[in-house]
Amino acid sequence: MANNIVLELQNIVKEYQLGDNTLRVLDGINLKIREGELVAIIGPSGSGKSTMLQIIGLLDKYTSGDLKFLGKDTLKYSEVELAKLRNEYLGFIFQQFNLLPKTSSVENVLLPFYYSGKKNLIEARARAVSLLEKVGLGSRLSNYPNQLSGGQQQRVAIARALMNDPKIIFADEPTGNLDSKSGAEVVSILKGLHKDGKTVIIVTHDPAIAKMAERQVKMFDGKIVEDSK
Amino acid sequence: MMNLRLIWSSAFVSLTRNKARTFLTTLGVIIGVLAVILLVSIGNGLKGLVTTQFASLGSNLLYIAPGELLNQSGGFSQSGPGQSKSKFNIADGATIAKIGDPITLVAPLIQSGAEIRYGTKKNNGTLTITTPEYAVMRNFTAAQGRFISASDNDGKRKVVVLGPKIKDKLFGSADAIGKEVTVSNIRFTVIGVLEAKAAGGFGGPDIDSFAYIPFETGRATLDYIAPQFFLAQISKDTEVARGKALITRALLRRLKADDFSVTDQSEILKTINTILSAVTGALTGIAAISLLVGGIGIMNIMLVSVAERTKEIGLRKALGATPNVIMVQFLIEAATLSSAGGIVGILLGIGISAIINQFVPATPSVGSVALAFFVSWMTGVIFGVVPARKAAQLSPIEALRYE
Repeated sequence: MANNIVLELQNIVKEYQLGDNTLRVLDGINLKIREGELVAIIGPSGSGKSTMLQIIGLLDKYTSGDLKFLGKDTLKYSEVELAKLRNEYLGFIFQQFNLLPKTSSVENVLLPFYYSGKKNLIEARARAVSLLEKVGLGSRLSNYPNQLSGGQQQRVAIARALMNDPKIIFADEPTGNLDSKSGAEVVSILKGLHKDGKTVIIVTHDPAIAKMAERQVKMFDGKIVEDSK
Repeated sequence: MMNLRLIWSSAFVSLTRNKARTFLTTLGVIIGVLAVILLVSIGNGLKGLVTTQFASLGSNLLYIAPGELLNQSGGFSQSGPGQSKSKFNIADGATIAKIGDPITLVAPLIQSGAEIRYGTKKNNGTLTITTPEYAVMRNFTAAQGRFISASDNDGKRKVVVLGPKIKDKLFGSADAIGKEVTVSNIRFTVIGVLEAKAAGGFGGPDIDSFAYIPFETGRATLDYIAPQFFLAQISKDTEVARGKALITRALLRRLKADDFSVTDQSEILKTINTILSAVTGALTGIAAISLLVGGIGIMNIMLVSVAERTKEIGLRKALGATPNVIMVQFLIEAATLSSAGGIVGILLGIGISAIINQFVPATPSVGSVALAFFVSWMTGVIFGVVPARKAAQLSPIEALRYE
């Protein structure tokens, strides 16, 4: 496959200042991710994989190095522009689901639409409903998160991540809070997204997820120690 | 830009998520707005009452009082009526009457609290000792019988005219004319009952509970020797200043300048209104402090809310919310809290004003209601800025980190 490179990291370093000590969490990361890839980022706790996800998800700043997103240097973007990029191109799935409480499934899925600046709510609502149907929640459209099981909540979160038809889906331990059956459902949905051509990047401890990914990036101590590709 | 509907619904959801807290937070604003509206409406009511009462007295009347009634700066003097001993004598009335044009009528006046009894019933009212001219100047109309006549006065007859409230208290619906009442153990025959005049109550004398006896009778039987005041009527409003000057000149022949003062109604009214405005203003200012405290309460709870919702704010940012959108969302939440408090406070204020109005005049002004709403809304915006900025500056990775 000679797909476009969507993300390119060159010698990315992330450091935290803890008093007099400098803690280097990412130590010179080089990584290219092409459109349509399914990448699993694995490694023990503290290896820097979540920090890397935050950086490539345009949520956090890095200390040095170059990060090109869709071929452009991300340092050039303002905070407002980064918010726009996240809204338009990125979808996030979290371990904690992060749904708004007392808010229906449809409204939760609509959230990225509201921040998109687009106006056609009727169309957006129809899309939200069809996305929920696609993840098997057609009968749970107006339920609040607390009326849904963990697996169902995560599926609402997946539908939300897809709302603005992003290029890249980021999932941070998406099955970490789920039983194995719900976890398997979520994994199969992610697989389906990959089949549909989405770029999917998953941070996980779960060997089952790691196995299904065509590419595994193993991290240790802030470095990539193995890239199966 | 951001969809307003979402901002509204998210503000609404977060406010209803914690109803008790929302209510307690708005309570500060409710009390502040309520206090402001009540004080303004009572102040307005009093001013209105005083103005009506004075207007009913006529604007072409002059009060000749012992000492200074009003001081140089327009307030009531320390040595005002009741404070200084009257240096007037009965001849001063004649002196004023002799001036002639533009003075049309003069009446001497003594007023004192008195207990009036009829059988076992009694009433504490104000006894006014005066001449028939007084009734003309004050536009008194007798509901029953008549007012004091010149021959009552000359003959020192023991007769009394009752205000309607005294009559009601002593006689109820029964006829009072010809009955005998007792004042200071002396029997007086009721010759008339006046028509009800003013509402009375706060801010002015309740002239409906005054009783009137002839001046000479009072001097002869009740040991009042010298007049306390004179009331003089001037032919028309435009002559008031000239009348004042003439009376002052005539009295100066016998009295010293600080023994007496000649004051017209408009001056007294102006003074009372100035004092009422100052008092209302000061009290409203104090009430406004409670609005400030309410605002601080809102700021406090919004800060708590920002801390509690770190994860939610992070999530919204991860999904594409810009700092401005988050800021607007929290500002709207704070303004919704304070405006809701403002509306409840205004409704309570109008309701309680209506209840108070049964006893004391109280009329909430449109201006005070509009101002109270605006101020309460602004309170939310101003005190919401700090928490909203804090929320806007939160980093989106908090959503991923916060457990």
